[in-house]
Amino acid sequence: MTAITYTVRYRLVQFGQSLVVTNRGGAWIRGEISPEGAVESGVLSRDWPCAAGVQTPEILPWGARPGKRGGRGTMSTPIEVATAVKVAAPKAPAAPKDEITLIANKWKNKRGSLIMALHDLQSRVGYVPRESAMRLGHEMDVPLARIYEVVTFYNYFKLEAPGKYVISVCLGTACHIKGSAELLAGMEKELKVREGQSTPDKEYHLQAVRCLGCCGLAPLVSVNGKVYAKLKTNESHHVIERIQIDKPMAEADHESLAE
Amino acid sequence: MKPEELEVKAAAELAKQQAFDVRLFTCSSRGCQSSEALGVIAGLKAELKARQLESRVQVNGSGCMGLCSKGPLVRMTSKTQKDILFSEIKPEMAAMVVEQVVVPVLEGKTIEKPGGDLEHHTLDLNDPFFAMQVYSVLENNGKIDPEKLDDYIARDGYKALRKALTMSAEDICKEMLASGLRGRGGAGFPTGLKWDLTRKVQSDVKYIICNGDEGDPGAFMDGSVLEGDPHAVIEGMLIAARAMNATQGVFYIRAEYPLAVERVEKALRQARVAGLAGKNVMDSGWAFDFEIRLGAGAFVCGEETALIASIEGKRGTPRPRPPFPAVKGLWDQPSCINNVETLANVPIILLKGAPWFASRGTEKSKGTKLFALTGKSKNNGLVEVPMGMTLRDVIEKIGGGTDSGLKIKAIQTGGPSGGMIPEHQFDTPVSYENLQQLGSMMGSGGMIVIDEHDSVVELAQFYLDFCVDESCGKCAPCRIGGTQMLHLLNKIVAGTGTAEDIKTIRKVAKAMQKASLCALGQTAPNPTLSALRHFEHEFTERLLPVATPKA
Repeated sequence: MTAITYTVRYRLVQFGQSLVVTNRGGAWIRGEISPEGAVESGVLSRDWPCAAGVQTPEILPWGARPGKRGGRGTMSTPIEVATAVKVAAPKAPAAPKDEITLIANKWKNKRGSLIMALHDLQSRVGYVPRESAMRLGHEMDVPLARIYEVVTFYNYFKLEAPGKYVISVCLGTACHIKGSAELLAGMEKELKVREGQSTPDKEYHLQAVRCLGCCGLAPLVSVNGKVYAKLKTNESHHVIERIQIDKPMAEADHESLAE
Repeated sequence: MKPEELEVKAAAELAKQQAFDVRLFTCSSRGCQSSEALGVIAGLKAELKARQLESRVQVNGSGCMGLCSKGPLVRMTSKTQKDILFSEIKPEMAAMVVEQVVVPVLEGKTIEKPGGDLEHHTLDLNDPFFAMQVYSVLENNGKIDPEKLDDYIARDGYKALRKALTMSAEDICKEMLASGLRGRGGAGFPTGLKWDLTRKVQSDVKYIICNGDEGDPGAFMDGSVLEGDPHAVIEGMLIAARAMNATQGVFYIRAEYPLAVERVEKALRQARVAGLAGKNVMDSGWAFDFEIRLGAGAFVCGEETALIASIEGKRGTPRPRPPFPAVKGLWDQPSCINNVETLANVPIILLKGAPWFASRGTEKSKGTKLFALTGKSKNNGLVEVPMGMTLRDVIEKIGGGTDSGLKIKAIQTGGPSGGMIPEHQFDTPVSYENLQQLGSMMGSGGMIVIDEHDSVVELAQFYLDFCVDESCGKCAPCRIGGTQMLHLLNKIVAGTGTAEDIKTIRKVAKAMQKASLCALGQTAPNPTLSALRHFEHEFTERLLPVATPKA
């Protein structure tokens, strides 16, 4: 397995066992990932055509959003593809088949209900797995391409299994004014992951969100729905500690969510 | 439910409420719930049960009471004395509230201001924050339990619908037009006119859509109204449906507001069971029902045509208008899209009359407006003020200035589509026209206070970044123009910009405003432009120093 340092401005996304590279124009090139996580086809070599003068390498695992701060593509350092693939290739369970049938039956006779069905699916498994999306599409008679086009358009849908504890740092205006960017940077440092990524042990997933609607309590962080409000921007360490203490509660919430 | 049963229900509920000596309302909206308000409710109930006072004291949840930064708030009302509003009550303090305040009041004592540990947990209701607000849409918040239909009926709920059922569609539209109500989503289109346009289109199927996709970061008014008084919005929609002969109602709500969705779902169930929605609305033979659709985190879906695409289960991209939704909307049928706050105003207008509503406000902007006052403001939260109040009163009196004591530099209204208003223009009265003249806009109602230490350049960058991120990419002016503008703004923030860059920003902004397909692209340059207009020196200070030729 070769680790490739990737420095071009193409998005690297993963869908199940496929690795997809795309540029903004929407041209797609696929590579395959072996069970060990290596990239088998040759498309991801250093010979990959680089756009000249590109200043912002942007490599993201499937489903990750481009860096929110400073706009798209502000990652400052190249990531090793192999690492990105490893992180992004969890063996998470897809929703049980009968459950998908249930969702499909609930919505398929209502016009335009694809988004609602996807909401149902994500609320059960925490994200939209490829296999489940395929089955859902099959049962609702919606092509996978339509589903893909919808889930990639809306920020709310996740295409990758998030960590057990989803830490959402609010970057709404009120929080921004009160220094949430600093808070997020601290969290990134503390967890050693970037915004939009999970820790390798899949324990934490760090994400930035736009406004949770509790602006009076800014700046704030929400973990699996539990809100940590009126934080100080330099206390990310303290927040992680509190999350660790509150874990049982978060776990209980998580279980009840699954039910 | 037959029309005359409303009074019976209301009287029964009022009698029930009268039987309690003390009623406690704990804010159970999103903000306070995140500060353990549900624990407070449980704590109060447990303590009252232990003291066997359940029959004398009622414990309720309630909608947002405004001062979100001091939550959870608990309001105590009693027949024998004036209201007390407690702030920052933790679940473990519930017993203290009962022991030190509720019990003495039940014993006949009058408590002016609780002492001891609760002294700093009591808010003065004569404070300008409360005293200067004019509650109309928020009138029920803190006074009813949003999860109880009877509470709403007891406060004249659904009486406006009953009146609407006796009126002709045209008359309802006329009444709305006479009231001067304008769209509270931001653009300010006269609601009566919009309804009338939809009414005049002939079709067997028509939709009335409630836009609850409050995408503006830093705004939470619509979510609070849906959470705090869901029946008011449902009633407003029923009346709107009547006014344009609509056949189906659709709620489009942000998925990020699960509590609002839950409350609306519950309220709809209650309304159907009570015969206020569904197959036979108020025994009139008219059938009308609702559907709920969730957004999925796309700011552009606040735009009418994008919202319709999203309800149809597609990517939320706008399309050119005309045809306007009033002619060709959801599933190509005539549709009317109204904002949550607009709809919440409707029952009030019908019940109290257009002249009453029009008596508040300025010549062209009537009624009241909700604002989400946040940022560096001392008092953070949800406020309702009459149109025509000066910005200074809102920010300095209701908002109480800054929490840090620093000087206020400006406010930002209208979110990513609005602009900044500098301190020296604060004496302007709030109205759609005035805010537009100042280079901002009313928007949905976010009002963010920034102090002298905050950089307007970085705030402009923040908003533009948001718009670039949320651009759907369909039209080039917005997709490319936004990215280019942001690129230049990033340069300036990094300290490598030149005077030429500022010129280019202005040029690109103009192109975006003129050529973008929808309001997102047309208004995305606004925060940057208004920052340049009022604070150009902050931009020039950050430019690369120009080498001066040697003498």
